[in-house]
Amino acid sequence: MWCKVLLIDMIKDKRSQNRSKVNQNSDTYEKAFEAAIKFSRVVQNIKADFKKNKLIYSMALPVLCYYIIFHYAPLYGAIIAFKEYTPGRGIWDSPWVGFRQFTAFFNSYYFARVMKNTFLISVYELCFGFPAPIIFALMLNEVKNKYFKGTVQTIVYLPHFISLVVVCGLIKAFTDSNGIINDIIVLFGGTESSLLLNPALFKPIYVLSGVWQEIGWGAIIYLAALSAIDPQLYEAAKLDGAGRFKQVVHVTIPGIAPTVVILLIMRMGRMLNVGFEKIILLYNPAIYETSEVISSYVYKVGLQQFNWSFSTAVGLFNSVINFMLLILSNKISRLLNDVSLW
Amino acid sequence: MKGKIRRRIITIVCITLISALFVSCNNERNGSNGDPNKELSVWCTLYADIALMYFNYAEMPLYKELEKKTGIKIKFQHPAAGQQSEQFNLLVASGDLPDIIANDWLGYPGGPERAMTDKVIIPLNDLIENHAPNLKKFISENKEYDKMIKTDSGNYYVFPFIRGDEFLYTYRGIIIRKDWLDEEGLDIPSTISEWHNALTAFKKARPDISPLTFSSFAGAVAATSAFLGAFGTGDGFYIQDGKVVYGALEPGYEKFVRLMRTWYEEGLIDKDFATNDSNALNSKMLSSRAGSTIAQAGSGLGRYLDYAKQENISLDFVGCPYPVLTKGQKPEFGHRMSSYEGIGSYAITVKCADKELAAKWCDYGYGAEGHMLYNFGIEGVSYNLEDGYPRYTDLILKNPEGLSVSQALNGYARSLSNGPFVQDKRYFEQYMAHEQQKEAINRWSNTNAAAHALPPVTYTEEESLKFSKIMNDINTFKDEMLIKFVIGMEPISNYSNFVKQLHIFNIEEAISVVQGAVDRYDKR
Repeated sequence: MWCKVLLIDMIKDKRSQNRSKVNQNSDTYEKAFEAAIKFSRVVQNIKADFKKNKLIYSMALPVLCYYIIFHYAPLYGAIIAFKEYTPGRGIWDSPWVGFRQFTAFFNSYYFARVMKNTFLISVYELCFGFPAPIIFALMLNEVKNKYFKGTVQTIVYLPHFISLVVVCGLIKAFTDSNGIINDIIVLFGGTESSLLLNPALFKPIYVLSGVWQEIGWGAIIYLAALSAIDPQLYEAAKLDGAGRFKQVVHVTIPGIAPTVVILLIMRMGRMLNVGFEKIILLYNPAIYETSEVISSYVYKVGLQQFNWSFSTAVGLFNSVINFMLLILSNKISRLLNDVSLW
Repeated sequence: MKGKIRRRIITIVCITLISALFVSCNNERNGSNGDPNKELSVWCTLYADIALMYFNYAEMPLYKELEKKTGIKIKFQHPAAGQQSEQFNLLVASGDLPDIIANDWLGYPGGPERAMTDKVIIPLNDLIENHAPNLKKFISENKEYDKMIKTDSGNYYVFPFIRGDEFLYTYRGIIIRKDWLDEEGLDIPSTISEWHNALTAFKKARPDISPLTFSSFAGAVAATSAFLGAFGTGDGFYIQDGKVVYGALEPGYEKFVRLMRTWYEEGLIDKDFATNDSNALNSKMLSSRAGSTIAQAGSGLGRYLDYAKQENISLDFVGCPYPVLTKGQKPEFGHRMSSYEGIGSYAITVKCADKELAAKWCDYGYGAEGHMLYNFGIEGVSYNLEDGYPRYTDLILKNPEGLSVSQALNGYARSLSNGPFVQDKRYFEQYMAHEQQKEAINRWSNTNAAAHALPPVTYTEEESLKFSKIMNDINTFKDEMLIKFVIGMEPISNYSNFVKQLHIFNIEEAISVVQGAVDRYDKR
């Protein structure tokens, strides 16, 4: 409605302008006029579209609500990172303290450690956790026996359905000084020790157990991408004399490359988001040095030590870095191979 | 046209249903504050043993009886087990408070005074004066409790859980396999060198086991100062010659760390001691994979002895006196709780609509009837009076359904956990069913720990902010370093660096804050 009003105003304006014969700005005016018409058309199109497909749009409503309620509305609470929040005073009435919480974090004894661990675990996960399902999917794709393939696939993605608490219990039992891993070490002439007491071993244990748990589940999307590759391409490659390996290199991998890139970008966005649950279930004071990450630190400081503002500041800092990483990786990907999220 | 009407009807029905949902949610919320039915909402921990039988305290016979006696219906809200402190924080942060909250208010960041300025709980001075006759009488007769349950500025803040007798203060200490000692022909060890002998003998006889094990090592040492006390040092803040000191800065602490390191190297301490949780610990103790540990009289020693009896296996534990350096010395440190620790204490929140009613409900436990109900349960069911002595029935002591004493007792009374009442010594006398338990308590309580204990001090808001910032860093750091020293990740020669780092964290400031609070407490 207001578009029409705007349009009429403009037309009137134009007429009066013509009459006064002041044509200095007529060029820009022309452009603005066209843009306004274009805009009103777009609005009208959207309106018509809404009318036509209102049921389809209404199906998107719950998702929209979900994001507004659980992701955008809570952003308001992030302002306590710049305050000294106490629940009695509430979010708004707590006093502003500027960047004090942030500087306190940067100057903290634990800052370097927490950043380093978060970064290293992310990089290890990217290096080992990301390619593992791709390799697994490629290997599975080469298996011709349907039953064998099905069985392997089922067994491999079972661990995904085990609750994290149970998985961590398993990991603890396996790495115990009487656990199965130590039994194997002793068999080969080593000495037994509690593996989770060794700071150097925490990251490998964390990353490898993650690979074990998620490899099958992660492979599903690649298997779907693989099945979408046109079989004619394989036939053509065969006629050209390509063996199994060459087919993989020249047909299969290019075929799933867009999927891989998109998933990689999305993964970069979550790069420093190392979840706290598994860390907290696995760590102990002896290995804080290599296991404390940003999220577990936020949990500890905020929810166990009541330091709400400080922990919000740490969390916000983490999110900002994630955001920058996401934009950066998207840009790089667009430059390198024209595939990007936006 | 018809379709349009039908569609409109469907829309209207949908909207009504959705709004009905919201309305019913709102109603529920109103109900908890509503006074016409004399109803109150209480937030408190559901203890694991009780959770075995009841999902909610309201189902417990004790609380049904309490409702009959007081005419007040209680709606209990329980946090998920093991997440009390997190959920308490969320509860406070949400501002959606119930009428009454049971918690450790001394542990509230900033202390009880801060909880009042945060507008979480209210000062109880007027309520106790006018509406809590039982508690008023109790604290006027026992001035030392009066001092404990108020802040420096004189505000009462809780209906406290109070241990009514010295006999109830000590229940944690070191236990050792008596049958293994007998095998080796050794006496119960009482000095560090005797301990070394005994543990080495255990290791020699059974190379596969761990002679000494722990679960949550730092916590166990903090609570009991076992082995540490031999070097004339306690853990955390304590009082030495009238001054507040911090254990890890004292020379004895380094000696203790050195001792633990040597024992660990010699294989006398469990290799997994830092990762054991309580389940792992119990299974090690019961399957003869460990010879000694720090345990509680009831849930540790008592449970192990019960198990041995039930399964008919030869497994015998005794409690050992806290070790010293020279034989015959009286241990300086050991486990000793004080009569009021802060835990399980009931405070009334600012959101409570009928504060007098809440005070009345909380006050009931300090009267004669409430005392018996909370401590012993229901007469004729869970206890009988024999010559004035409330004796638990076989329902508790020899439960027909095979429940352990602690489980059965937890189902009928709160004496084993906590609540707004004074804990009765007579519960403990019966709960310690095994001779070994009574013996252990006697040995464990024979220390000078009372002379070193901090009173239940409170801090000002500013002090507590400073204190918690310093101590949060220090506690994490200390736990980590302690274990690293013991397992050899960090050479003991770096102990001086450890102390230096404590100074960088500003431990002096924390000590002076505690000292100031103790001085104010003494002046109350």
